Amino acid sequence: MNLVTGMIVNDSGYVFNSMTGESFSINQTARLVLTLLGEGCSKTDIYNRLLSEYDVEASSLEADVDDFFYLLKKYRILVD
Amino acid sequence: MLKRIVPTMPGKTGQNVAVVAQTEIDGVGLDCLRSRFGSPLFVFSERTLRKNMREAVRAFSTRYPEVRFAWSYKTNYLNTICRIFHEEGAMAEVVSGFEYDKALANGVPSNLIIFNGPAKSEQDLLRAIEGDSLIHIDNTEELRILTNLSIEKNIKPRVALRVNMDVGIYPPWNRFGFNLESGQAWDALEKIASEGKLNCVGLHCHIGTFIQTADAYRIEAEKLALLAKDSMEKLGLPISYVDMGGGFASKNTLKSSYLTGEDLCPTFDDYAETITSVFRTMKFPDGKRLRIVLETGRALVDNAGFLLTSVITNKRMADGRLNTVIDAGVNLLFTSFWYNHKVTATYESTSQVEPTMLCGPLCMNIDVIRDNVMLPPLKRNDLLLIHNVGAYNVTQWMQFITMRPKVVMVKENGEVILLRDAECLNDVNGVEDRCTVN
Ligand SMILES: Cc1ncc(COP(=O)(O)O)c(C=O)c1O
Repeated sequence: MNLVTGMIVNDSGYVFNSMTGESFSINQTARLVLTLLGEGCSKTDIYNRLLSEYDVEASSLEADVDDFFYLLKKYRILVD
Repeated sequence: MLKRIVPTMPGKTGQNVAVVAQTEIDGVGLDCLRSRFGSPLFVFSERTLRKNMREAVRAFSTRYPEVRFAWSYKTNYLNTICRIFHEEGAMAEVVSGFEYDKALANGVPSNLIIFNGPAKSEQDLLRAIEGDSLIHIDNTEELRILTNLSIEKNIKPRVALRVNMDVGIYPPWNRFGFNLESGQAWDALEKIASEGKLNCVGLHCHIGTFIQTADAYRIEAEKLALLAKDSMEKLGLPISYVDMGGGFASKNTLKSSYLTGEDLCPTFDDYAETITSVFRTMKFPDGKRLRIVLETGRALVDNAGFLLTSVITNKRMADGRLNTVIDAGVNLLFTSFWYNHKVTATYESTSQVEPTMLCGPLCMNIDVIRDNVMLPPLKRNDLLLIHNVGAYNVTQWMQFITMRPKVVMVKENGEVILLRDAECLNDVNGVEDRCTVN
């Protein structure tokens, strides 16, 4: 799975997917995840990184990461 | 958090309505309420109940000397709540034998009970006659029964005629009582006057519920006042009060409404000025002054009731929308079918909010508390507070799939008391067990 080509992310959390023409807003954590994905990290890498960096329960983080990846796929930001 | 930006009409306050958290009710922490009483939980504020009642009484009685409120039992007949309204001076307004009994058990003298409703039994009418209650006649059959009972018992019951009329609002409430414009009401009054068996001391009309335009009450007041004047002058009826019914709006937001209920809801002063100005200017025979009776329900109790509920889980719907499931369903919150109830988080969070569909725990597609509400990220066991639920829910709620939860009240002194215990299996099975033949 890769980030779609032609995606624009700006500093204020605005995302534009030029393949679909859809716009999104993201928060700080989501930006970090997109950056890590761009650097080639896997979902597991990202989960571990967030777990070490944030004060969060593992089960709740897992649900959030799953949900976030579901949305990335749903909105075709992550593609095969 | 990833949110799709969809070009739609922004609401009055923009799209991302930040959710202001509410962490307590009258100084009592919501977490603490849940740990003591469980979830879901209905919570009432005694302070707000009394404040509402005093506010309403002040608005009317500073403008007109003869005003009396009658607590509309069906709106909320938890006994403690009824008794608070009675302590604040309200009579009782009931619409069934069951509610009549409740009012008596709450210590209301029978002559301070207004007995309304379209389906009074003969037995209940007899009780009301013997108790000198104010019986508001709904139909000709009831008028006939009352007349017969009065002859049989040799008592002249105190009655009022319930009237319905066009006050320019939709939908018109014309199913109850006698229609004014078509002459039904006048015919009934003439009959009462000519038979002389009933002591017709009042006229009553309830124009509808959640009336957001005070002006509808001006039309009602003018028409009722004129009918009272004619009944006194032309028929010699001893009319002493006009009951304006209920219907004042609460601060809830109707589903069809663009503006919030908080922006639209007239104040008690608005309603009071409109109604009392008619009675201040109208001249009645012998300089008589009519008493104004009000059967205000929801506007007195809605904002005093809250529903505390816990998050069960989050789901993603096929279209990407977030669906948060909570432990309180539409069986407890009947009013969610016509209101967009205000929902707040119970902890301060970031300004990040997401459009969320809020669903109850019932295994039914209709179990939707809010179609679309901006909420911060929530996880299992997080608490949410649903506002303005005090009217009609703890009377119309159903035991369905789940049982009805506890109801508590935060007293003025900060103490929290249980008003109604949670249902248990025995309560539900008990009524079946009573008929088991072994
Ligand atoms: C006769 C009568 N009086 C009073 C009320 C209370 O109305 P509300 O809660 O709208 O004030 C009702 C409610 O339907 C009613 O039918």
